[in-house]
Amino acid sequence: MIPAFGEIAAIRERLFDLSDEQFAKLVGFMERTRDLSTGRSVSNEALDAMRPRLRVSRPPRRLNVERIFCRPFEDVLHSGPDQSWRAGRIARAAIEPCWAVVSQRIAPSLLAEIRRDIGELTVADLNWPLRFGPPLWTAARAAFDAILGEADADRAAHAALVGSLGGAAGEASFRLMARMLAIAEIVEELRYILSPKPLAALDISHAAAVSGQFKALAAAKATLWEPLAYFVIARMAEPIALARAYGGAACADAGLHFLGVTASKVTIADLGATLGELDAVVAGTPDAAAAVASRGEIAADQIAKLREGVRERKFTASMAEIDRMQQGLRDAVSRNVLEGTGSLIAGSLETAAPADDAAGEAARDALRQTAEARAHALWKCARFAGKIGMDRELAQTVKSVEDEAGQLVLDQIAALRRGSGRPDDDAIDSVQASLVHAVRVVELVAGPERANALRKRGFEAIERLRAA
Amino acid sequence: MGLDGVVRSTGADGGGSGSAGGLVQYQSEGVAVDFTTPILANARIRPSDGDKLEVILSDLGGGRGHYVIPLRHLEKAVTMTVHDHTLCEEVLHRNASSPDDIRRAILTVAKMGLAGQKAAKHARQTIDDEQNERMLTTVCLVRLAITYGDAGAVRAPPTLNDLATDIARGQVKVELAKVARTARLSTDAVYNLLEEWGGIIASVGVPDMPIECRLRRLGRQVFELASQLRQWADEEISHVGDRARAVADHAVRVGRDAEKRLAALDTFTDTIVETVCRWKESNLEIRAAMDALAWTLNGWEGNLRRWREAAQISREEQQRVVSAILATRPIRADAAQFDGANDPAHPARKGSRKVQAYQDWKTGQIDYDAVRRLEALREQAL
Repeated sequence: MIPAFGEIAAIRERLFDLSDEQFAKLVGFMERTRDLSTGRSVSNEALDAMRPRLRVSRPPRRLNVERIFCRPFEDVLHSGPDQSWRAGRIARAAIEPCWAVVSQRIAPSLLAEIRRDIGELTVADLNWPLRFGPPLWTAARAAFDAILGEADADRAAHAALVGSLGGAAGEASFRLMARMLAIAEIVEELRYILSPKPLAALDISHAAAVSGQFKALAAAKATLWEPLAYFVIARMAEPIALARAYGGAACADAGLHFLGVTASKVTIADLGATLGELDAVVAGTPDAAAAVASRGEIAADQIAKLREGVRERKFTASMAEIDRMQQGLRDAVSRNVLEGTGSLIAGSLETAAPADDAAGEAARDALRQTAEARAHALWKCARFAGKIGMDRELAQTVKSVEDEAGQLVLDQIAALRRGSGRPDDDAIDSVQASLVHAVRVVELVAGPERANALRKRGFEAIERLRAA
Repeated sequence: MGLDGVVRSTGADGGGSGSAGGLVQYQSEGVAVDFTTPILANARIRPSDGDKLEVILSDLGGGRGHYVIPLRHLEKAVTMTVHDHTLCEEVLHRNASSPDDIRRAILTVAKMGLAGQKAAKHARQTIDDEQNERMLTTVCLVRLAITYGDAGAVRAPPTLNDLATDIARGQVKVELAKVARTARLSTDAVYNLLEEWGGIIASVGVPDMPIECRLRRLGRQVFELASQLRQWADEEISHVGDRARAVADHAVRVGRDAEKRLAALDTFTDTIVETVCRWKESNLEIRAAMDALAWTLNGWEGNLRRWREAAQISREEQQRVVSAILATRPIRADAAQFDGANDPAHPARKGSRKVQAYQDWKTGQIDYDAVRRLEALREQAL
C-alpha cells in the first residue's frame, strides 16, 4: 500500500522510533514503489521525509536507472526548494522532468536490459558506475543531442520542450545535464582523484590531473570546459580557493586559468543570488533576522575574500560590483536585524502576568522565541559587522537592548514586591519565566557574565518573594 | 584568582584504568553531563576526594589528553553559559555524582528554560514520559503477578485505568491473592512492593512491554550506532575511519555489557514470585543492577544525538564528532587504536589535528551557534 500524504507527516514525526532493520525495510518498500508510475511522486515525497534518518542509518539504497543517469552530474546537484537556476548547479527538482523527456528517446529494450541486470544490486556495489554507466550515458547523450537539435531548429519544438521541463530554469538545467553527460567518463575518472570531497585546495597531483583533462577536451573547449570546471568547483570546499590559485593572469596553464576564472564567476554569481534572496526577505517575518544573520556571515566573508583577491590581483572582478554587494548586505542587516529589535525585545518582556489561556501563553512563547532569535542574530551580525563597516550601529543596538531587557524585568519583580500581600505562585512563576527570557537575551547580546549577574540578582529577589 | 592548582592535565593518556569491563571503570570515567558551553560538550563529572566533585575535560580544542578541574572552580577556568553556571550550582547543591542524580539535576535546570523554551518543554515531556513508563511497568508487573499460576485465566488483565481508581485498584489487589499467599504477605503489601519495583525499573520496563523504555531502547540504539559507524568507516578514506571503527568496537562492548545487565534484570521479572518472596534482598539486587546499567550506558544518549546531528550536516562534522566521541572513550580501549595513533610523525596523523574554532578558553569567547546546536540536541527525543 502506498502511503497517503497524511501518513508522510507521521513518517516524518516518528522517523527515529524505528529500529535500523525496520527502517531499512521501509526504505526498500518505498524504493520499489517508486518504480511504479502510480507511486512515484508519493514515494519521492516519503523518501524526502525520511532523508534525515537515511543520513544516519544509511540502509543500502537500491540502484535504479535514474541513479545511473544522474551519476555524471550528482556533484553539482543542489537541494533548493524549487528548480531555480544557479550557475554551475542543477536543482534536484529538475531531475524528474528531464529524465522523463530523455528516457522517451532511449531504446526501451536498453532500459529494460539495464533494469533486469540491476536486479537487487545496491549503490554499495562499487562496480556499478563502470558496468552500467557507459551504455546508458551513450544512449542518453544521443537522446540529448536529438532533443536539443530539434529544439534549436524549431521554435515550436523549443516551446514544447521548455513547457515539459517546467520553464527556462528547467531548460538551463537540461542543457547543463547534456554537457555533463558529454564528459561523463572524464568526471568518473576525476572523481576518484578529487577525493575525499570537499577539498580545501588542489595539490600538485590534483592540479596535474585536472589540467590533463582540460587539455584532453581542448578541441571542444567552447562547450565542455565549462561543465568540467563546474564539476571541479563542486568538489571544492570554497570555489574562491580556485579563483585565488588560478584566476590571475600569471597562471600559464590555460585549462587551470579557465577553472580559476569560472570559479570567480561562480563565487560572484552565488553571492549575487544570496544577496538577491536576502533582499527579498520580508522584514519582520519570524525567520528573517536569522536568515540574514547566518547567510550574511557567509556573504560578508565571501565579499572580504573577493575584495582581497582583486586587490592582490589574484583574479579579476569589478570592485564597484563588490561595493554594491557590500551595500546590499548592509541594507539587509539594517532592515532585518537592527530595525525594530528594541521594540521586539521590549514587547516580549512587557507582560509578565500569567497568560489568560493556552492560546495567550502560546503567543507569548512564540514572541519570546522570536526575540531570542533576534538577539542571536544580533550576536551573529556583531561577528561580521567589522567586515562590512557596521560595528558602530551594531554596538549601539546591543547596548540599548541589554539595558532595556535587564531594567524591564527587574522593574517587574519590584512591581510584584510592591503589591499588597504575598503575590500568588502563578504570578511569581510568570515573572520568573520573564526573568529567564531576559537572561537569555542579555547573554546573547552582552555575554554570560552580565547575564549571570542579572540571573543571580533576579532569582534572589524572586526567592524573597516566595519566602514572603 | 589564578588557576594555579585548579587545573591539572592528566597527560596524553589520561588517568589510570580500572578493572576491564567492570563497573568501577565506568564510574571512574564520570557521568556525562549535558552542558551547553561548547568546550564542556564532552565533560564528565565524578566524585573527587571526600564529598567533592570534579570535572574531566576531554578533547579540549581538539587536542589530546584530559584535564581535571574541581567543579566548584570550573567557572574560573572556563567561560560558561548561564545554563551551565546554574547546572553546576544545582549539581553541587545536590552533590550529585551518579547518572540518575545528575539526570535529575539536568532536567530540573532545563525545566527552568535556561537552555531555551523547547528544551524546557522537552524536559517536562521527559518527566511525564518517565512517569508513564513507571505506571506502565507497574501495570505489567501486576499483570505478570496475577497470571502467576493462573495462566488459563480468561479475565482481562488490568490496564492503566484500573490502577487509577481506588475501586478498580482494590479489585486488582484481590486478584493478587495467589501470589500473596505464596509470599506469605498481604495483597496490599504485594501491590505496594510491585509499585516500588515498577518505580525502580521504570527506565527499563519489562520484556514485551508495548513501549520500549528509555534504557532498553538506548541499549539497542548503541548497537545500531556501532553498525552505522562501521558502514561510515568503510567509506572514509582518512584516518578517522579507524577512529570510527574503534568507537564502534567500544559501542559493541558497551551494548553487550548492557545486554547482560538487562538480561539479569529481566530474570527478576521472569521469576516474579521468587523475587517477591525474597523482596528484601531482591530489592537491593535490582537497585544495584539498575545502577550498573545506568553507568554502563551513561553518555551514549549524548553520543547518539551528536552523531544524528552530524549526519545531517557534513562529512567534516561527522569526522569531528567521531574524534570527539573517541576522545571521551575509556582509556583502556586505547590499545585498539590504529598503528601510529600515538605517533605524531606517523603519516596517518599528518594534518589530522583539528582545532575547533571559537572555543578558546583563554579568551573566553563562546560560540553561540554551537551553544544553540547543543541546546537543540536536547530537544530531540531518542
